[in-house]
Amino acid sequence: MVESASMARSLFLLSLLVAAGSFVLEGCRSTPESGPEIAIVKVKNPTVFLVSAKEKDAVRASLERAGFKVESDHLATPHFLRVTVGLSQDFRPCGPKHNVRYELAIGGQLVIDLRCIGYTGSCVPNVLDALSEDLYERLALPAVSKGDGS
Amino acid sequence: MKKGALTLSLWLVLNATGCVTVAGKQLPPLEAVATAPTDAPSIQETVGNFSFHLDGGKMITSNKAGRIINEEILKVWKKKGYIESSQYVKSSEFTGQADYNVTLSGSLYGESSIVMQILSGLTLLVIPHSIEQKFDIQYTLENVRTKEKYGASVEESYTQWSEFFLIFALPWSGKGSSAAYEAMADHIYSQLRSKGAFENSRTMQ
Repeated sequence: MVESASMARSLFLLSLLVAAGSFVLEGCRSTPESGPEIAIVKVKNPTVFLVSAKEKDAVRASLERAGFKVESDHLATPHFLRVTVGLSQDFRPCGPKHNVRYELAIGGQLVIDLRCIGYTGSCVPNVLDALSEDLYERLALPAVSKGDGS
Repeated sequence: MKKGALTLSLWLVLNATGCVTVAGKQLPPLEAVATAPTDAPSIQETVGNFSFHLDGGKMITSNKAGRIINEEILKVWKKKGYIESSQYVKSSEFTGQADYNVTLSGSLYGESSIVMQILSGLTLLVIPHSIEQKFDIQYTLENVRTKEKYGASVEESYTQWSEFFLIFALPWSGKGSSAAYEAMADHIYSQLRSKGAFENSRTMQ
């Protein structure tokens, strides 16, 4: 009886450790995961209007590398992207480590919420590039290659 | 008498935080200053998709921060005669009784060192700390009569330094933030005017 209780406790602790470990290692998540389904209409060449009070130039560059056209007029695109770069968590010669959040709203409604922690600056992998590419995949129609006859 | 003096001293110490603000330099001075219309329009304003973040924790909501920005910018517009009056309404609850509807969106980020904030607090502000308020804001102006929309966006900042002995700089403490708000107000108005807004300033007949 005592043994089974101690085993259950060990299993519980182990599962807690695994959960915490996977969060620390993974670090990225996307929401909203629940609530009303919001259909995202994928488009050929997605455009965004970027709002970011911190690291705006770096975020713009990463969005452009991912394939986005970044509009300068917020009325020119339905995609309103707010990027929040948090406090520096750690430093490497290539750049600091930040919590980064990408919130995409369409018509004032939040449709994509991506969060991740990682290194910015010239570091590879780069959290800004990873999130920009993730967002592009969610918004852009996949490119059709000419030789794809299947 | 003594009790009153003690209360007053305590109130002064608690409230009179020594600080100065220094305006950022993102927005250059405008070449041409916009002239006030002869018949200034009325405005209803609200806060839309706006977010406020402060390193170390914020004490007001994003909506409240947005309302403060709107108040400061529209105060400049009123002072310069660009608008006649402004009224706050809850998000998307415009009544259609003003000439224009204004919606603020964007982001305000207060960047600061938490370590310095703690050190400064522990030493009762003898060690200074600073907060850089970074604005990336957009205004959407809608002509109530024609339903035409105009957009403007600006990026600006100001830095707030807090330190006990800056209490003596109290009369000038808000100079930097006022300059930053005035620059933003002027640039937003100028952008809106250049896109055709406020041309027939009073549109409701």
